[in-house]
Amino acid sequence: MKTRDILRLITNEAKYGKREWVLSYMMQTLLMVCVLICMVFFTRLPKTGDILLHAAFDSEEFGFQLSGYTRSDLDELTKMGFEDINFDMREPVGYLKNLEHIWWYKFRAVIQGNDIWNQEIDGYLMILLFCRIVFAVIGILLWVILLNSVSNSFRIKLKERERFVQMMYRLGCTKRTIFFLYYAFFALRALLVFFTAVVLSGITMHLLNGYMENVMYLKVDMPIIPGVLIAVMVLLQLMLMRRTMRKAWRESNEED
Amino acid sequence: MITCDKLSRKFEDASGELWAVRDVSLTVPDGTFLSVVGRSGSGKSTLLKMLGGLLSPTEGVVRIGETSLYEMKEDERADYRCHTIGFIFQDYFLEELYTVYQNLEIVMMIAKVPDAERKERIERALTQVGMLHKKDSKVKVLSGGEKQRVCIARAIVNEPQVLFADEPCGNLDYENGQTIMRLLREQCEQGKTVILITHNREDAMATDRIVTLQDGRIESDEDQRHS
Repeated sequence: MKTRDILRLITNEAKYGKREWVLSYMMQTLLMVCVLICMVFFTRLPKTGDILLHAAFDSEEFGFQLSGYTRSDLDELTKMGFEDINFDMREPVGYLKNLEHIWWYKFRAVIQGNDIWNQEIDGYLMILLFCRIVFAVIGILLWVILLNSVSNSFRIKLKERERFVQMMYRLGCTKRTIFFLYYAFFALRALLVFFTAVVLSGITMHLLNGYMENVMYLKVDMPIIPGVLIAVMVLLQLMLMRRTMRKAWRESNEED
Repeated sequence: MITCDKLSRKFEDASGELWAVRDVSLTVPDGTFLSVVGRSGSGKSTLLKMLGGLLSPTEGVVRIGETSLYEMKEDERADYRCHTIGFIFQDYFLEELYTVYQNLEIVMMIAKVPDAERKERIERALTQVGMLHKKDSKVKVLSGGEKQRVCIARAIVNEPQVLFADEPCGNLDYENGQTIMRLLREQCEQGKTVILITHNREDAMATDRIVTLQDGRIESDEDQRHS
């Protein structure tokens, strides 16, 4: 079938089940916005936490006890970003200006049987880590709900258009072409959801950045468009669509 | 010429296996108006689907000329359905929200007919069935008889060699049914092979040859032209 004819058929498909796809569009956009915001917070929380702690303690650097580390670990500690490292005290002490990767340093230290800690700010760091985990879990759960919603949309659509699909097959259209027709239809719908979600989440981030700068006098610079994340989610969603459509075809159509 | 040799189809379900069609051998020369009659469950629709490339047989062979239908690849079989066969269904299988023109154009799209040829071929097919004046009407506003005429137009628009009609008069009144039978006869007179599935003996009497199925087997094969 010619590309132009496929595009015409795709456009015609939008006439059917308008109520379903409008409601799905709204719900899936909302879910996608929440997923994007959760993922933005997950990735940016360490940087934002760093800015907030510096502002709260009015300090350019934080001192950490480096339990278990010796002079032989100097290079490693320097690479982490520690400065003014003093091994002459009962427990070595080092100063860190950037707290973005502190949990990664703490994790590596524990693996090696060491510890990096600061009694004053460890509590706050724990809260930031907990928040990060919560955002990640919520984001993943919302994404699972989103994928389920997309999957249900396929099934509803293919069930609704079962007769049309059978008609096309009987008139001599190959399964591959029918498949491609609905794959393209849902891909366009998904792209519409993604672009709307990117715009809405971008607006949200812009407003948040504005609030942080104008009200709290902090420049946090939350990213407007989390590009790589979207690319990965689109790819995974397209793969799910392909699998769901093949299964729905087998369930609802004649085999020859 | 369509031939089938010891064609059989088995279905399995929770209660066991059921042979819907068993050992059906048939030769249909070109230009024949053949009807397959039988009660509900006699295997008529199953036979039609196997002859039309929609359902693979459990046993046996279907040949179109010298080519075995089920030895073709799926794309080749789809191409066969598109260019060689026209289907007319009891339930029409038309798109209600599309116009008559658009319904016929779908077949043109599948057959990749150039845009320049489509209008002429569609209008010619609609003229043959007396529906040209309704080409821009949405299908949902048509009567049952009009819808079935559109189905025939859709079936012939690609100029196929064979027409399969599955109970085309099943949902129609007597007058409309007679109109449909007359249109099918006209197609046969133009050289097409027409295979009609029906449970109505009266419709079958208007054809050249009647094959009666019972319990999936051929009970009788009567040539009407010599009777």
